[in-house]
Amino acid sequence: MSPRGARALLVSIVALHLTLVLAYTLPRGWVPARLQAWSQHYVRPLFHQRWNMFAPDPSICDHGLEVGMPDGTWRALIPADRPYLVRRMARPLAQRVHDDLLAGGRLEPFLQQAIHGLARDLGQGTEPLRFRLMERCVMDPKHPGHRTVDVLPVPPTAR
Amino acid sequence: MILPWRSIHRLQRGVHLWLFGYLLSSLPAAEWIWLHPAVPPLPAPPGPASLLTHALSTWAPPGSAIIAVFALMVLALRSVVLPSRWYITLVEWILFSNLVNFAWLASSGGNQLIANVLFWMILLPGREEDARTATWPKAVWQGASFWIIRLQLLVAYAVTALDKLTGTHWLAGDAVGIVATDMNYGPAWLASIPLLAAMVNYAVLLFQLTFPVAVWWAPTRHWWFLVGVLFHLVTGITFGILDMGLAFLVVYPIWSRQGERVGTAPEVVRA
Repeated sequence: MSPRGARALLVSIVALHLTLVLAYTLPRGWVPARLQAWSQHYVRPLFHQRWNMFAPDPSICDHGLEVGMPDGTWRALIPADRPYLVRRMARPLAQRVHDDLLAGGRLEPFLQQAIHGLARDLGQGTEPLRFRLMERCVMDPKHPGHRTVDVLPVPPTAR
Repeated sequence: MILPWRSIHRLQRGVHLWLFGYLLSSLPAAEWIWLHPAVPPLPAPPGPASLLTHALSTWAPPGSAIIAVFALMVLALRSVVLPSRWYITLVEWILFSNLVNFAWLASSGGNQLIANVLFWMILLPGREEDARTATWPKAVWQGASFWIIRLQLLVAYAVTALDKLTGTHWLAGDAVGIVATDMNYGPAWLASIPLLAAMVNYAVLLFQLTFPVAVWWAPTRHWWFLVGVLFHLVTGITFGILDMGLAFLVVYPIWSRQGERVGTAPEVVRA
């Protein structure tokens, strides 16, 4: 192959990959629907990536899951003394539980498994475990330190 | 195409060192994420590729994840001290993709970046000789991989910055204050100094927007790398995502071209 042909091939491969990755990761409204669909087929199986941390806006509400203790008190579902990779699951898990509660109140089966799995250190009692979601929301973005606190009960599920 | 060997070699060693360090740091959580995962895996996406990338969550026997962790640690450590080999990097990519998909809720953008870079590293040269004398078709796939890794880093910064421009709070200067007072992040004291929070807000936006442009020229590249190191270390430590910050930093060397040049060697391509 001639140097020019090799270079053209190289540029084409890179451009095609880049176009499809951008179509997959850029805000949906910016990308034509058909290109978006192609990018799903190409990027999702092998090159999945999302770069929307705190974008387009950080969430104005934070969420934390808590589990009821046998003595009637509550503790964080993932306590602060857990390893960092376990602690990291707290936020996305609480967000998904919140989304399910808003959508209709029933948790998807994998979420039920997850919250029970993370509370397995509480042992196999006979009483169903109780969970709740703490939600703290910013009222005025100029004063984000002032947040309202809500407690959302999580419907009981079997262990 | 002549590839800057030193940049490639630093990238390879950095990514392998990151892999080893990340997996080592995951061992205290092994009981929760590798041995008896508290969170069930998500269904594998359709298509034959998932047999390879979601083996741990589909057909592999229970308990395979921790074996994959130790196997990958050994392979990664080997590639830190010995030259990279395409078939070893291929195995590393399969193992790492599986582990990321298996422990999906504990994954971060850093895991996704490394998984993508690792895939293209399979096609990069493992020796300096290969980087300088590759012939068709090797020269094309090596060059394409090299440029895709370079541009992958820029895509991450550009997309997150552009996405932020479509929102409200980043443009109003309030986003950093909101993040700082989120119970999962911090530091909350930052929001008590609104001017500082707004300055950090716009500095982050400016850094992420300009990084994909600044790295093309040596004088600006060095300054943006320095800011990037500070940015990723500070956000990594305060948000508890140090592994994500380090994942970005180990890819930086692919853009360093000290004492080397990227160019074409027509006689080599033609050979």
